[in-house]
Amino acid sequence: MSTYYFVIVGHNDNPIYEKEFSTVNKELRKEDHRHLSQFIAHAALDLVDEHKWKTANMQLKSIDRFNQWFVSAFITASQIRFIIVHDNKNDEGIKNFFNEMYETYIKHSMNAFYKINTPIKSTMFEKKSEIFGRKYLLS
Amino acid sequence: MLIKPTITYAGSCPLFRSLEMQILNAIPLDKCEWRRTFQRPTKQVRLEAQAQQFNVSMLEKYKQGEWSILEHPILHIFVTECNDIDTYKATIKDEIDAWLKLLTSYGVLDWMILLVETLDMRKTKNILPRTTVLDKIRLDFGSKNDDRCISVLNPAKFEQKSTESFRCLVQRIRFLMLTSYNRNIVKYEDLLRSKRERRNLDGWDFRQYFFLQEDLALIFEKLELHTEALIQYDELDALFSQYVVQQTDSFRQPLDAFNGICLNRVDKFEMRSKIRNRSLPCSLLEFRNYLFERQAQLLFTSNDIPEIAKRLLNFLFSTLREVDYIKVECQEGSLACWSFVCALEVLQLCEQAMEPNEVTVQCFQHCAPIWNLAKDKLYELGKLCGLLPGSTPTSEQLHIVVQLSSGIGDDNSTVEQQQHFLLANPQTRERSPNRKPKKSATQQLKEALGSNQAFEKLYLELAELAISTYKHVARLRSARLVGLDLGKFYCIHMNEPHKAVGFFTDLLRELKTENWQMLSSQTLLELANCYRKMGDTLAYTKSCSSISCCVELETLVRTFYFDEFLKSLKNLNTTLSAQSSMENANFCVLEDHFRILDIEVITPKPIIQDDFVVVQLKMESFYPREIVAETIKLCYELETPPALEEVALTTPTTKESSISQLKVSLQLSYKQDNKLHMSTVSCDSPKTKHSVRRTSSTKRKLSPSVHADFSNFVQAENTALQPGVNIIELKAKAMRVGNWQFKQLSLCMSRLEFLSEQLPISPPSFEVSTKPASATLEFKTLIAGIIQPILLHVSGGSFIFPADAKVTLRCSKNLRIRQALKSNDETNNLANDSTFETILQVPLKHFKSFEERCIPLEVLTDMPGRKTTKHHEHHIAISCPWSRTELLIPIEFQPAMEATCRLHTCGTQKFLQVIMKGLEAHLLLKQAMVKCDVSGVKLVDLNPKNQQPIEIYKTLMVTYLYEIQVEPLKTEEELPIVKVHFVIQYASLEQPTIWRNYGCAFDLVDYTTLFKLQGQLEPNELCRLRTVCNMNLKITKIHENPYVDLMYEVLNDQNLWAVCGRSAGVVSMKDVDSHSISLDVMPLSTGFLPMPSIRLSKYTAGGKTKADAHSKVHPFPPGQVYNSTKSLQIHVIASVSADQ
Repeated sequence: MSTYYFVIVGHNDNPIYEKEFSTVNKELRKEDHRHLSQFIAHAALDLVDEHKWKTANMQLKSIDRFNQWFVSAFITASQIRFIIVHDNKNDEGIKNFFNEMYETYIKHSMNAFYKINTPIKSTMFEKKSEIFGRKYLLS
Repeated sequence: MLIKPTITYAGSCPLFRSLEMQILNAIPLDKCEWRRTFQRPTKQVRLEAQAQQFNVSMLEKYKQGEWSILEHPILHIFVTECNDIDTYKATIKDEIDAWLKLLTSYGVLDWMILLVETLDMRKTKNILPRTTVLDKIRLDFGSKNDDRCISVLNPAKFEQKSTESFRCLVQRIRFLMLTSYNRNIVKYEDLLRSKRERRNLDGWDFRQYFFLQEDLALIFEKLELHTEALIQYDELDALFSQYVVQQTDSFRQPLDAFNGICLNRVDKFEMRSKIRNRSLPCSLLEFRNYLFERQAQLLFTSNDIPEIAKRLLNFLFSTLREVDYIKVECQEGSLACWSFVCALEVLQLCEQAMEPNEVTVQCFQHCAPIWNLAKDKLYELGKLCGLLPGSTPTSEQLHIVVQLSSGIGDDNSTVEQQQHFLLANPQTRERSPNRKPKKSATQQLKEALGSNQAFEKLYLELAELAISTYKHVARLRSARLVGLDLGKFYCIHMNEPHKAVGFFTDLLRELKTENWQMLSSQTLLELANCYRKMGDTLAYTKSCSSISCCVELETLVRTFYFDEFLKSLKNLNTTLSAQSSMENANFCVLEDHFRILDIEVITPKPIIQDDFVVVQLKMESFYPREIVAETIKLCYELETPPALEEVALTTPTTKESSISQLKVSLQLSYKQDNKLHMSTVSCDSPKTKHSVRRTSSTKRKLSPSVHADFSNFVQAENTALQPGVNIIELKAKAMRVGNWQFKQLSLCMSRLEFLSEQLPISPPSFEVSTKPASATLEFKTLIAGIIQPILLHVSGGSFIFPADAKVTLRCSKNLRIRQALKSNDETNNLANDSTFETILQVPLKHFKSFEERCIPLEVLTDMPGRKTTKHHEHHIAISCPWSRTELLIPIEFQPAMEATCRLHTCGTQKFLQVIMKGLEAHLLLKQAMVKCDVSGVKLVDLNPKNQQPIEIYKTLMVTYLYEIQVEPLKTEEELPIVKVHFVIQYASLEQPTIWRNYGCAFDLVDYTTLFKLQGQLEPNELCRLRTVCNMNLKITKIHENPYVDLMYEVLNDQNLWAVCGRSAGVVSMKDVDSHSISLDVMPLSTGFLPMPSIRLSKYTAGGKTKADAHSKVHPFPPGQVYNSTKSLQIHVIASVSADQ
């Protein structure tokens, strides 16, 4: 049993895409828990910003702990932050997931009708993230 | 537990024992360089040792591969004091041989032969032995490694001389020990590897392996290789994690004790012996604790305290997962206790070790989450044991407390030991003696579990520490997240909601700025709860309103809070205090509740002053149901020219750049002979602790405090706003002229005012303007004498006209005006020129602003009887209702026709010719008449009678002829001027029935014929070409006149006539009536040639006075000279000679 909360954060520290992956049954999951993941992701922004200048890598790996939760981050070339809050160690899977989502995000951001930093509301993007989440995070 | 490498001795045991203490004490005195294998860095190592008599049993295990590096003797020494070669050969050699063989049979190569020399001075002085025993030993055993054979002067006997050799010995022992370690560690590692590879086989004992590897770690630690020791422990840690998952059964016993880690134990290996003792089963927690303690110890000695803090969370949660996985039976809350104690233990260590250096920041970074964890765990316990403020523990809960307290175990350390522990590390500083020593983690927990007050105190302390630590490492967001928990604690448990508000609002502000909607709505819920408890109706109302507008929340929640909102909104009037402070202002952020989609000015442009401005506002309401806004106001302000702002902006930027200039200084260094050696430019960069520090995003206020200037606004009242998009019309009277821009939207509900932060990116601007009214006259070329159309153009502008407004037109003299008649009125008034007036009032009935009206008018001006073709200038003064001053408009008229007269003479008869020249207009003329009132002058009309009206138009001329008969008695002296009036009736072609009079007065002067000029050409009537003819001129005086001297001139065409001789001359008419002149002329052309014309002029001879030096010639007026030669023609025929 593991849960992953994935969020893309724009330049103004605003979430532009959120997605949750979990093996736990939806009814069982407490609503409160979801907020906590969000809260943790939000709180980790400070640390992401601190780390992103310390390395040339896009993968920032696991950067923060909040009780049992890990926070892993990825930063794109355009300084868009990908953050995953998870309670299981899964470095390899998360790395792959980030890479795939980066690819997907680039494609989406090249859409002339998409404005950077605005929420992503694309079914294609949604579908892709669903696929990659199941492939790399939950398997 | 004492860890000292073992050295064995054989041979002369009593001798060694006598030296033992001296050697063992000497070993740790100095460091030895350790050259390690595989190019690992050399290291200075301080060694210790213990000695044992050689025993074969010690090597048994070694041979079997069951040995431990810890217990394995590291060096074997054979001691002898044989000085005599013979004795040596007889016994010692064999002994050594046997000993060495035994060692090699066990595969041990770490040996040393020590020859203790008890030198007899007297003997050696005389005989220098050829070979010593040492040489012999070296020869026999040390062929390859003669450094393993060493002799030493017995220090017991030669205290003075032995020092040097003894130092050599100790050095050699150290060296050999290290060499031995090199070999043995490699061997041991091989052993471990092979053991580890068998871990998946049945019967593999983890515990056994654990100690094997730990021994290596201990040896590393002993050899001050902390990192390598740590690696061993880390490997064991990882292996244990695997093992636990596979061998779940071995740790499944219920957990009674859950002591936390203790980083300052007296006996660091207490747990090790417990684990080793198989009879006492050791729990998972104990094992884990031990591992972590060891790791922490190693990290501490290598002064990497942050790493301890960093590892803690991993340690705790992986252990918790294991406990969970194995399903260890344990007391509820026990794990929380354990986590709490562990966390606090590490925190205390960090706190103690903190130095004001760089380590601290790193340390704080890792400490912050630990504080938070400790806080969470304590809360968990408090909840379990009923220790939260406001609740009293039940008996069951008290029972739990007792159980937990016993399970935590007792304190393992004392303050003194703590101090000792700290002093062990040279980096740690002495704590000030005044400061009270901290209670141990266990004690603190026990106290907190003891009473509600203690619990509360500890919880608040931990939370505050977590927040401040997070803030210290610039992780404000995390600090706020902890603040959320603390706020909840204050609000829910301690019933001090006012303390919680700050935490919630801080968090809310940040979340809202960054658009984390879901989170901000959650925080809002907390805040609303808080305000409700505080009884702050206003704030509660605002929060309820905001919550009901959170689209992310469930509809049920939203409608609940919507109802709450409406309910408390009603109460607001009664409860709200009269004065609203800045904090307590009744402003809400409009954007949280509505979204302004569009603002459009509907009133067509331009908007006139005092007109109504209508603005359409498109707004989305987020409320779940309909609400009624009492007023919606949208204020607007005058647009400011942007140029001013730019100027203001440029100045501060230059200032900033000057501030950020680097402090660069020049440094020169000179040689001894004062020549410049070197010059440098240096810059002291101010030391920044954090190279990069994030700055928080721009802050957004929770409630707008800026109330824009609402002196100009459009508004709507009592508007019902449906959920979703609403279109509202806002109205206001445009009072002032200017370019206006919308600034802020305000929406009032009861006492609440919703103010917008900013309008959508480009709020439209509109212009309120006034337009002056104007009146102009439009006309084309106007012609005098006939009715001319003219247009009065009135444009209303923004002037508001009274119902009976009128425009008055006043004409200049001789100009009259009237309103144009409609065509059907023609018959009645057509003939009536009297309807023209000099002053006309044009009524402007129902004239509206901005109306444009054209009023056709007609003007008529008299045609003055002047002969000139000059324009007639007139003007019309217009007085309008909007202006006090008259408007003077110049008008020019062109004459319709022109009359000129000419006087003609025929001998003494005089004729008057009147020429009417048509100009612009097309007219009809009739009844031309001349009148002369002078008696004795009669004008005879020579024109045909009863003729039809004559049409006249441009370029057409009509001529009338009259004969003037002056009575002979009336001489010119009597009547120098005869005034003649010419009158004619005319009508325009369009209105042929209306006849108007045109009159013209002519003055006749010089109408008497004074001279007559006659001329004749001889031979008469037969002129031949190029034949000189005689021309006779005769000037006759008809009337007496003062002109005496006359001058005649022949003005001939040079192609036709040639005058022979003088062509001009002066004659005097004094006392003569006539004068004859003869001239010779010659025709130059054939045909009927006009006779050369003669001109007669008055002549005044010059030279009589000085002023008139020259003669002057004046022409006569046309009536005074009658020239009969005019228009005579001469027939010239071709000359005879020419014919021939």
